[in-house]
Amino acid sequence: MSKNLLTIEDLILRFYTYEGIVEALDKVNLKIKDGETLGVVGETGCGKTVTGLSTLVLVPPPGKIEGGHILFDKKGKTVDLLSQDEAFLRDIRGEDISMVFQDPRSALNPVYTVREQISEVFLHHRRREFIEQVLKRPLTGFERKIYEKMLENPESFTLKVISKIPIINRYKRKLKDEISSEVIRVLKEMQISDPERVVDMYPHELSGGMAQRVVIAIALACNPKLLIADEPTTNLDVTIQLQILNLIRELKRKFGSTIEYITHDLGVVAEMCDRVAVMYAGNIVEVADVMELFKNPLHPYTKALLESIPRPGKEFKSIEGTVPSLINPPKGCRFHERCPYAMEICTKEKPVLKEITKKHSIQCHLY
Amino acid sequence: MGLKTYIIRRLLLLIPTLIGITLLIFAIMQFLPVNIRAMMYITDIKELDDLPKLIEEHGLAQPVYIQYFRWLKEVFVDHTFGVDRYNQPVFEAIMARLPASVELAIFSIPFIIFIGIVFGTTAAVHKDKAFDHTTRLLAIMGTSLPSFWLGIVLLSIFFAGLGWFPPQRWGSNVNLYVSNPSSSWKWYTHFITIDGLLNGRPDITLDGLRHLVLPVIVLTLLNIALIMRVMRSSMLEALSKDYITAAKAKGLTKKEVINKHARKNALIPVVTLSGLLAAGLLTGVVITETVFDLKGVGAYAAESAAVPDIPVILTYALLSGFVFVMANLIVDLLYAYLDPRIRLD
Amino acid sequence: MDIKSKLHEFRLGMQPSIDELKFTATRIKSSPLSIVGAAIVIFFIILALAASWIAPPGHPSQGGNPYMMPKFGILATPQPPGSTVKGNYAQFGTTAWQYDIYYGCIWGSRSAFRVGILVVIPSLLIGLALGTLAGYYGGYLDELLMRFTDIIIAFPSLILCMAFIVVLVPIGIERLDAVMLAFVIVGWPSYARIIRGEALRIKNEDYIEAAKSIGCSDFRVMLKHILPNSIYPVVIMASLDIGTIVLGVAALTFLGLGAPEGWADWGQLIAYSRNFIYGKPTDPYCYWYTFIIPGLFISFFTLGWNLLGDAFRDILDPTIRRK
Repeated sequence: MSKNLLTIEDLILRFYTYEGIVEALDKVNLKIKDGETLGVVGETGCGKTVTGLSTLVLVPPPGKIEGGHILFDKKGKTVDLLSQDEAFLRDIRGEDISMVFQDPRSALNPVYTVREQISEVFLHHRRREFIEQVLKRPLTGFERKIYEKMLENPESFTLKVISKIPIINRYKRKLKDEISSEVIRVLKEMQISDPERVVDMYPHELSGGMAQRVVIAIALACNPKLLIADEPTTNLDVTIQLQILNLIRELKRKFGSTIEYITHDLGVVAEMCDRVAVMYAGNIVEVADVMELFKNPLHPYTKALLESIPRPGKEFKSIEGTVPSLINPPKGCRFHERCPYAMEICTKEKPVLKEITKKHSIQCHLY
Repeated sequence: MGLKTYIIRRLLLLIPTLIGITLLIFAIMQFLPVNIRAMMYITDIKELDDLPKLIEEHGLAQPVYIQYFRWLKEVFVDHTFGVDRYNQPVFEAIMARLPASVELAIFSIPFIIFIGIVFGTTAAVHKDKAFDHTTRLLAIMGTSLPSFWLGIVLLSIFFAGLGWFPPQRWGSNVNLYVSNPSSSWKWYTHFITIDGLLNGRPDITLDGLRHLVLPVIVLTLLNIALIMRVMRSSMLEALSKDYITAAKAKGLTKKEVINKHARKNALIPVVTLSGLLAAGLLTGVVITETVFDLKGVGAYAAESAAVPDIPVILTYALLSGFVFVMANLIVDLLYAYLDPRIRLD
Repeated sequence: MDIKSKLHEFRLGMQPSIDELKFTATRIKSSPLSIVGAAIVIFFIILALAASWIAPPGHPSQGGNPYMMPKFGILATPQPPGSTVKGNYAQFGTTAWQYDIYYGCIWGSRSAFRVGILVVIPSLLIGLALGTLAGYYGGYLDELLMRFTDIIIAFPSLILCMAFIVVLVPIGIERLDAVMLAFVIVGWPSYARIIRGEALRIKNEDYIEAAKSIGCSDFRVMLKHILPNSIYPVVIMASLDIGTIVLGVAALTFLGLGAPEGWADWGQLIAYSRNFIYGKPTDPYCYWYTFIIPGLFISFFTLGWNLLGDAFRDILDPTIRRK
């Protein structure tokens, strides 16, 4: 049995807004196995994106994580990300865990080129390796001394001063060139046919699909163990969607990354994922292997979701009611107001995620 | 489109705007009856009796369009448009007083821009905390205090009361030396601070600086407000963008995210503002120059407006307009350089 | 019956607007600065309205015009607060030539409002009209307006004002009126620009097309849809402007270009203090009241409007209302 790469235990997340306290995540439990693709499905607002952000401990204010653990397996050692300091987390971000964002063009900084934005990841996480590579090349005496200094004492004051002086700091070019060739290689992996041209473009000059490839390139640059993909194809044209999905699949095969795939599209889940977790109103309500979920959905919400997929010849069926406001969430099970099978206990007590079979867990009083 | 094409387009747009400015000033001038316009050229009181001669000489009765071109030539080519009340040609009079204003501007602009940007950024990063509220208060006070009043109060305390920082550009004993044509003092740049060093008299430079302290304080207090506010809101906007979260997800430190990613985006509107501000200061600050008796173009324009010495005001307005349009151009070009999205337009 | 149900429907329809107003009220209450600003402005309004009672005119030196400050004597040297000059009590003292500072400050608020309103309202109306038309119809009209406003905005406003004043006065317009007219001419382009921008943005919204498709005339569309939705930035600008205009007129008056001699205007009072700001060699602060007191009046007036305008911006701007 493969190990769990990521375990989210009883995660509680609250947003403190003008209109009240939003109980965004209500004791969320999630396990992602090493090497699998786990889909996280749910309607807009159910909390899937913030779950992803929480894994990187990047929830923006007014959000606050107020309970639970996020256990990550870093090279054999399990650490609770929620109790680490910023320096440790910064190390993990981009290196061990990466994120691909929903709107590629807004995830890229409009005033920097593609090259600069991808190089940034390398500069931050692989600085030593690149400097060592530079040192293998022919250098002037001055440059050699500087690069050796960068290796031995990167925080030195002299270095900081020299790096700001206009003509002298041209030494930086050697490092940038070294990184550039790596950047181009990464872009080629993204199935971009003319990376030399793309590399100097600005985000607004890129098409949606191209921009998303760049975002994925940034995420995979350092070959992270876990990739969190937050609706990467939602904002793209349907034809491009397919290309990107294929790309992700191919990259996973090549790099062996574990993927947490966040989406609201059940079709994509069927295509891409090994297992699926269904989220509703800040709770994980059902987790199962993909085939199992589609064949045998157990949670009333999942059942309703699958039934509401429009099919030719079938009548339109939608779920009654609307997603509850999370400022004053319903007591007990959050779905009970819309659930056709609701019982009295559902209004009082919140059910716990229970494992029915090895492949199927569910959070519902029916079971 | 590339930067080059954008620059060319912008330069071409410059010309109609400059023409527009001349037209506006000319139009304002035409409001005045012919006689008054003739009086603008008087160098001798006797000429008052013979206005028709002046009208004939300067073509003031001719059709409007001919007048316009004639006037343009007088202002820009011959420099003969108008004589001020001291019988000096207006153009020269303005040029003679320009260094005083420019010197003040050069010392004030760096403070204003630097403090504005730093305070604004910090206020944004520490939103709603003590620093933010204090700077907001400072900004509001800066825009609420009348500039002339602030100058007066400062003079009362720091000059009359404490004797530290005097008005005018230099002290009276210095004046004896530098205004005396037969002394060994040479005016190179007409900036007292630079020329003091060039003449080997650092004490004069220090004296000049001492005289600059209060006016610079006044200008800084009055002008940082806008830059701080724009920097703050622009920074807040940048920090709320997705690419900031994406940058954090790369593992960058908070400092790197703020300085590299947010600030470059946030600086763009501030650069525009600073450029216009600098232009405004360079054309002379009427009130501050008057209160501190710095004989700059602003004070000159103010006195002229009170008389009224019409050719001075009109020429001054014209020149100011030009400076502003040029500043707008430079600012637009800087904007295009900083923000690649603009070049598309 | 029918009326009752209609009323009920009306109430239901208005409910979202009422909720919004309630929200606005809570936002106002939560910002202490806006309350301070409002308080200051209200204070000055009361001062201006009650001027005739708090500082009754009727001194012979005023020549029947209550806007002229009474002259209690003929000496140049100011007298300190609380002194009595030729039988006239001067609470705040007198400034150069024995003008009563108290009277000047109180009636100065009336001057300030008079100037502020007489400048801002016409600027606003002209700017609104031209801006809406230009933004809505676009094309040549819009281009024309943009170039024209470009040129006016290209000038530093005080200087352009001076240029207009210098030309308007010789042709016979009263100086203070010339000043106000100049400010209006220089001021409306800013309003026009803002409204034009908003009109451009709004005219492409779907509800405008919907309104037109059911036959609304252009005028009606502009009046009922574009105007109410674009008015917020203008309101903010107007309230900030009142402070700026009053400061500007005071500055011009200080230079000798604004209100006439003896006019009850804060800028005028400070202008009168110019020769006395250094005090006496032995007592440099002895004439403090000649400039500190009027200066405080004008500073607080502007401060109040600035706070209010700032608060309006935080409260009305739909994009930051709910942060």
